[in-house]
Amino acid sequence: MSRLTTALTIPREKLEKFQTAAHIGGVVAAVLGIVSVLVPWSYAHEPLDDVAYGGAPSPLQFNYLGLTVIALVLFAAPLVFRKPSKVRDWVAWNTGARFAGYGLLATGFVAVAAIGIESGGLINVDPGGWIALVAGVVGAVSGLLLLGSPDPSMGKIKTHSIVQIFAIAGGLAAVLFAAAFALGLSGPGAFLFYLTFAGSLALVLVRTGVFGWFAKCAADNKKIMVLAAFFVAFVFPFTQNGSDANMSIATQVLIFAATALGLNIVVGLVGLLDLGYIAFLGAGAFTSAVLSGSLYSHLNWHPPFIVTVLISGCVASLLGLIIGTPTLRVSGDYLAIVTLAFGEIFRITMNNLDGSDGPNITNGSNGINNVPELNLFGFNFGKPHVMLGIEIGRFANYFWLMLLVLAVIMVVFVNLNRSRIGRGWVAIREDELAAEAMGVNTFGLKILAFAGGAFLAGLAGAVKAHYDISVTPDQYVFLESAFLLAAVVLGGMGTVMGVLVGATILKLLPEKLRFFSDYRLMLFGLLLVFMMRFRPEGIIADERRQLEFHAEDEELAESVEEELITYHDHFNPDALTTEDLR
Amino acid sequence: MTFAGQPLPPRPRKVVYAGMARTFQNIRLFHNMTALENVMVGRYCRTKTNAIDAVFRLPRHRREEREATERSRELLAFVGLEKKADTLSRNLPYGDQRRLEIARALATDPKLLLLDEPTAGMNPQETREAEDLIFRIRDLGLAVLVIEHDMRFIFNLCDRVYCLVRGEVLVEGAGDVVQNDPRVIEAYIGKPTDLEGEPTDA
Amino acid sequence: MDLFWQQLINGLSLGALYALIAVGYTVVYGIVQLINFAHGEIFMVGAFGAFATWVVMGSPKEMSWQMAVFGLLPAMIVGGMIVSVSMALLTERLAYRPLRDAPRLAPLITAIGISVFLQEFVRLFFGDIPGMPDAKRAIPFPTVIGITGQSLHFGNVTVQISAIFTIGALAACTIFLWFYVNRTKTGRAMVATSQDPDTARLMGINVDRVIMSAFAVGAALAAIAGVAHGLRYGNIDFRMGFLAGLKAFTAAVLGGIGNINGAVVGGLVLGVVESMATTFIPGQFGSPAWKDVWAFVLLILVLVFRPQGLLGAKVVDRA
Repeated sequence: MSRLTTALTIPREKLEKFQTAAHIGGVVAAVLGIVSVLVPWSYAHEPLDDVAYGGAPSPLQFNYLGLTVIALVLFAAPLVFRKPSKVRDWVAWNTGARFAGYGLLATGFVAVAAIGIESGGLINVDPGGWIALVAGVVGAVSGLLLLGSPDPSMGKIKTHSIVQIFAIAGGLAAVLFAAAFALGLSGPGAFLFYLTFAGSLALVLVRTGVFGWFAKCAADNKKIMVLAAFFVAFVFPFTQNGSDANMSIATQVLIFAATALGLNIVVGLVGLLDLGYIAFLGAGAFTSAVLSGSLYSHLNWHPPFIVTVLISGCVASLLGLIIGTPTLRVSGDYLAIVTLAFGEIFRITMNNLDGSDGPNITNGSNGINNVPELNLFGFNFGKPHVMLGIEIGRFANYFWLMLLVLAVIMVVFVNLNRSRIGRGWVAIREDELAAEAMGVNTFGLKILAFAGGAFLAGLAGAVKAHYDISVTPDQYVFLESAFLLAAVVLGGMGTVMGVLVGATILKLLPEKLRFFSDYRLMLFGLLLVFMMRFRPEGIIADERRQLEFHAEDEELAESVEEELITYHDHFNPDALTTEDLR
Repeated sequence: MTFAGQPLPPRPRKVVYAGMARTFQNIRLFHNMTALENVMVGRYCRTKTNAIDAVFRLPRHRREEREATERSRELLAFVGLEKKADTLSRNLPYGDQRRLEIARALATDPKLLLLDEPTAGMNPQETREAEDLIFRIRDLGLAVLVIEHDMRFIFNLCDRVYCLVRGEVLVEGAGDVVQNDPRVIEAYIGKPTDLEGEPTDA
Repeated sequence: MDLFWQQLINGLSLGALYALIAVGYTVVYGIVQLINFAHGEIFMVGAFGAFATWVVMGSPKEMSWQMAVFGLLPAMIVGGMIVSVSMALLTERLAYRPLRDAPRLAPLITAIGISVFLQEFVRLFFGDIPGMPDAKRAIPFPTVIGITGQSLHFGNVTVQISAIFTIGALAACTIFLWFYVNRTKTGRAMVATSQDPDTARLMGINVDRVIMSAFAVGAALAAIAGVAHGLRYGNIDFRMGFLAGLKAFTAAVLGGIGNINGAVVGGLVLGVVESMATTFIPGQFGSPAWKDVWAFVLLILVLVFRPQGLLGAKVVDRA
């Protein structure tokens, strides 16, 4: 991205004289945007969940209105407060305004395109839509002309911890609202529009530095932040009024995210490319299905689920050991292809254990069907329950269970990363030979990550078997591994947040944009190529990873160092001793 | 090969464990880790926290992390980098990187420290500082073995000098003995050969 | 005993196919130390290119066998090569070259991305090219009169003409490669670059061009393999590159990755092991359904006991 923006930048001296004009242009654009929502955008009612009324903005338009108001503030503020001051420079007004301008263009463009496509022609775009598009063009051009502001310093403001906690609560409530709202949208156009809007808003918040302040709040109150985030995820089913469709998507997102997070330990933290990860998920799922007491299982031993989960994890990690031990001794490159081969072996073997080509364990390509619903401590996951007057369906039950699994994987991820072991992993990634020469057990640490990652996938697989009800070999093919990898790469190698974002985007898009699902794999392949080319560290970058991918960038090195100190986000156990011993 | 009466194990990691640590001729720090973290990697082989300890934050993890940090800070102070603990090692100036490498090696609690051309690329001022540092390391009571081409540095520093030509020890002895040995002069000034001095303290 | 000879022939022809693809992995790895996962897809694209050439020629069906073997077949091979080589050069230029100094993970992930992209691209859009059939399912490969379906008999041993073609093509390619590497300027530049790219550059070798020629040579051989695959199995599909690519990589590792002769030997050995396994392993595990598994088990065994491969020299990583 940074390279792209650099290419778009016009020399500074040429821009100097346009500054006032650009600010005024931006204000005009924002006002146009505000005006547009008062005028109908579309003649037909279907597109964008109905934006055909004048004077009464639809919920989507209200969101858009928020973006325009932010753009207005960002563009207008430097006109009002002309003198630089410490407080003024907390926020990167110009940079933020620029991205608000781009955001207006992106949303305006998506709106017009969606209306045009969903109602059968641009003829159905009413003046409001066109005004929004014009507002976008004017805003983007004005933004392009603005000089960048100095780096924002909001992250360094000292804030009272109560304010910080309120900020966390507010931020998470907004996320919850946004998620519930996005899932409630019906048309693909509306969803895409909302996604563009949310992406633009996030970018503006990051670029102005407001996000930096939020990150500081979160870093200062890590435990509260984490608990609050889980609370928000926990109450999510209550916002869905028993809608099974959305809860099913949400649960799938969680399963996907949990698996991707496990993969991120291997890929992101240690830097080993594991292309057979889905097979470990499959191993867990098959083990759990065979032990579940399904009529299609030929084994007559049905241990309680707690035991089954552990066995599933152990089976998966045993497989990991079998293929990891020989390959990890050689070189990381081989691991990639051997795991790829392992994925194939797994699929073929599951297909062959059907009684004719091998012992009958899996019923071959038919797989194991009718895996019974989970029943933990008398709580039947298959039955709806009523809580607080709201019906909580089957999917919500599994959602909560997966949330628990996700939490376990997150704890493992974070705690391993911030320990002697995590330091060893970074050392291996940076210079394996030097690490070995400093006494780091490189082979042991790689095996630990690889087999440990497999164990976590096995856990997730065990739950997935019950959630899916049937387990078949063709659910666990190579393309799914590539899909997982895409989530890790898109979100950010080595970060928890990144993977959650990546997994959500990749799983939600094909669900909500049906027309897109046939092209999804092709586009994800392309996504991998483009991410590696332009932003290998992913949307939410791990600072250290970012540095590794941009070895020559000295400026980045300086700023990362500063960030590491501000957010005490490093392995430096000073943070740990003060925090953990508190 | 034997070391302190024990045969040396074949893997580099186990050599470190046996008490022999090294630095590299071309600096090989972990560039994207801070100075403190680099030294803490050196503590790896003297700590035992396993995955379970780390995941559940068991007492051993906490204790070892605290001890490793303290020890690493001490070592940073010892080499004069206490103010740069949070600097990424790639952002350190060259001379500091060399000293950080020594601190990292010292963190493995070696009995013998091997320094591979510790003054390569240094100016006279930095070389003198390195000399001073090596004397202080010796005073800690561990053996130091230096491979170096800078003769003045070697003869100022070393108690015992080995002159190697084509992989064989040519002369061994105190600095002035080796310096005045005709074979050394011939080998050193006559043709371009490797001359390497190795000092150890007793 | 007939069964043994029969399986040996089958194995050798299968192995020749693997070897033709394996050369592409090994040449590229030898020079840039990159496992080009997408090479299997280059092979697939080559086969589709050959098929497309046949369609462009007007889908000829009736002709003399001389015409088919000396006219149609070479034309299809050349057509396949044009497509596969341009695709390989395109990926090298656009995707791999910008990542040459990036951490090892980056080009590997890129390769996976290209691989998935090419498979899906062919599946979705091959049928949209005017005159081409839909590629969402297998496409029957054109009949080359004199080769397709023909066989020779030696006692009870049957030898498909397509097998003779594959083995012959491998022999010709091996000889060609030997001359190319040892007797041409580009070939020697390749050897120099593989040993030390920096020094090679200082000596005035255009390293970019050397890398491109490595990709091109690999892709050309993959196209021949694509045609051979079509003739052998009678159809092609967008998925064919995945498994074939994996097997070919196994062959390359088996022979010693980076070593061209190794790739040839590795391919042949792998092919023979695979076909022997289905015959001589008793019981359920000897069924053809397991043959791919045995091939990969062989890969893992090689990595355990002889990671440098059959013909590879031991590589020492220096401090």
